[in-house]
Amino acid sequence: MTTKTALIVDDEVHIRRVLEVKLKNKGMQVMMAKNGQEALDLIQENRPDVVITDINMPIMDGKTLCILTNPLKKEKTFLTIVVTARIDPQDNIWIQELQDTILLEKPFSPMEILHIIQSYRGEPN
Amino acid sequence: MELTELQDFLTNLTPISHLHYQVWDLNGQMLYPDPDQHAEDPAFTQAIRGLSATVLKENRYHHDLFAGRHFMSGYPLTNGKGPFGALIAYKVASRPQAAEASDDPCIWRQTMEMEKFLGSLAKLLQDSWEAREEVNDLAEELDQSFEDLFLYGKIASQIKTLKFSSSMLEGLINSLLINLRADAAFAIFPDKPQYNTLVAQQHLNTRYRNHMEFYQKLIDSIPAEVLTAEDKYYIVNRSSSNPTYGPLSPTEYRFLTVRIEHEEGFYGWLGLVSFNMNEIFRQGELQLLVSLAEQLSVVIANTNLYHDLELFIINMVKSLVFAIEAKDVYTRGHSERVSRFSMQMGKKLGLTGKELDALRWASILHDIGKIGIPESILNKPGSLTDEEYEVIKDHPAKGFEILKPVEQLGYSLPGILHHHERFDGKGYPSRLAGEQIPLAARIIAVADTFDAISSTRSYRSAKSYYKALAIVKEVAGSQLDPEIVTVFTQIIDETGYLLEEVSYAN
Repeated sequence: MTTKTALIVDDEVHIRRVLEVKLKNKGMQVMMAKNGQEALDLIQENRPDVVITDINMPIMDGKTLCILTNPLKKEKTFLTIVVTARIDPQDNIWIQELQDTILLEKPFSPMEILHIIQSYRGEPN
Repeated sequence: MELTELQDFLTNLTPISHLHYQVWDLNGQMLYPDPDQHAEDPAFTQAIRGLSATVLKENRYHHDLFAGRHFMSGYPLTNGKGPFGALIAYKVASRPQAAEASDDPCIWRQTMEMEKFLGSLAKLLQDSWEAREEVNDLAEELDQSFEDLFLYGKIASQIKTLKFSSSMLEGLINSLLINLRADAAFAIFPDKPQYNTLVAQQHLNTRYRNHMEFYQKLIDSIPAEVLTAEDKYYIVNRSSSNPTYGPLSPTEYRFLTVRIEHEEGFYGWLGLVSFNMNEIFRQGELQLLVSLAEQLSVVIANTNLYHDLELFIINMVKSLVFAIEAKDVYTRGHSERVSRFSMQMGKKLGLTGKELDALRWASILHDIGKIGIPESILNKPGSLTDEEYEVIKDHPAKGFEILKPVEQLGYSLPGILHHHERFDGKGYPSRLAGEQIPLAARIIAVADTFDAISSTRSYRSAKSYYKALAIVKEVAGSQLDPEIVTVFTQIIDETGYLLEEVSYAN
């Protein structure tokens, strides 16, 4: 198996670090971004296999990021996991419109995220 | 060790400092640069390995010359436990000829400076590594807190459903097992073994007939003093050093269990077992387990309360029904039969849950108001005077009044109050018509009419079921809801009620 790349997008350092360590321990390569803009640049340049993103962030929020990167999935798809602490029923609606994009609520289980990534890639847990 | 960022730093430092850098570990392996891409003379590399070993052994700065002309120096990288690596700096002599050490003032005069420089660089690397490791440790701690928090949230939402059941318990224990990284999680209820639940990662003990037996033994072996002291929890950190617990399994394990109890009493044990002896049960896990057990006990207590209440209502209803039937000898079994027919119709009409419950209570209690009617009227042979008939007609309203204070039966009251309404609006007490009449009341009316005609009354003897059904069909649309009569007819057909009666009558 070739090493898979994940991009973690969150303005909160503790969230980034927890996911970073979790994914690195599973042998994944990890990139990190503090907002949607940084993430967009990294996605365009590196095409990660998984993007885990927050919604509420400065400069560019996660929703904009997801909508801007969705067309890239036509070429080669990747998984986007949107993790949010905000309560907004609308989030379910726009996320359903996007390809390979799922929503998780905070507090989330890092292990569950790992399982989701693994089952998306068709690996046993 | 996380080297990527530091490697870039050392690589960038090389052209400015005119020194090459290497990092060696305690096993004599080169960590930096990548040995595959390293093209130094093998003999030189061997000499550096030797220098690194000396540096690590003596835990201090060393320098030397290779082949009498290539300068090399090393400084230990240490953490709290001592050296874990050696930072090497070397310079490949540009002149092909061997040079006397003293010929290269640039190096020898600056030996002191070199030691200082390498020392500072080593410190920088150490701090950076340490910070990195600390962040990783913190992240791992935090990772567990995230899992705990997630589990709390999940449990809280499961607890909200309030009703205790095997599947609810299994869901709860499953999430417990996943989040606490144990090999098995279980709940054992000594008084209610049907609720014993076990979720295990794998089948580990072949010694026992079934998997549960091992866990049951763990609970059974809890020392008496723990039980009498009513300690909140019991822990076995290492089964091999416990004379009671060691022999229970050939594989070493650790075991933690907490009491599930409430003011009402003791219910059982919630426990975890792990065969991974490299880890321990943490305080946080105990707290989580304790709070889960507390939540669980609340659910169990509530469920018991709910069952008690339900049982109380059933018993109360039974005694009320008994009271009516004691008064009116002709109606013995009537309430029971009306209830049975009504429930059959209700189910066929697609009623569920609360609606069906309401129908059950309303149908069995529909005549409860007769308690307030004098026996002389109830059991009077022959026809009633207008006055007496008015008294009889009052029984649905009386029943309503009698049961009104019983809050739990509130939802069944409309079925009782209106079971003598007629579909054409000529009934009592409210002269409701058609769909205005509550569905439960329309259902009860059909069952009540059929049973009244087909059983003996004070004023006449029983008609056959055939005749009774014929009369019920006749009054469909005037007295009774025709749709419900159709459903009732279907039920009679399907259950073979009339056939039974024919053979019985002949």
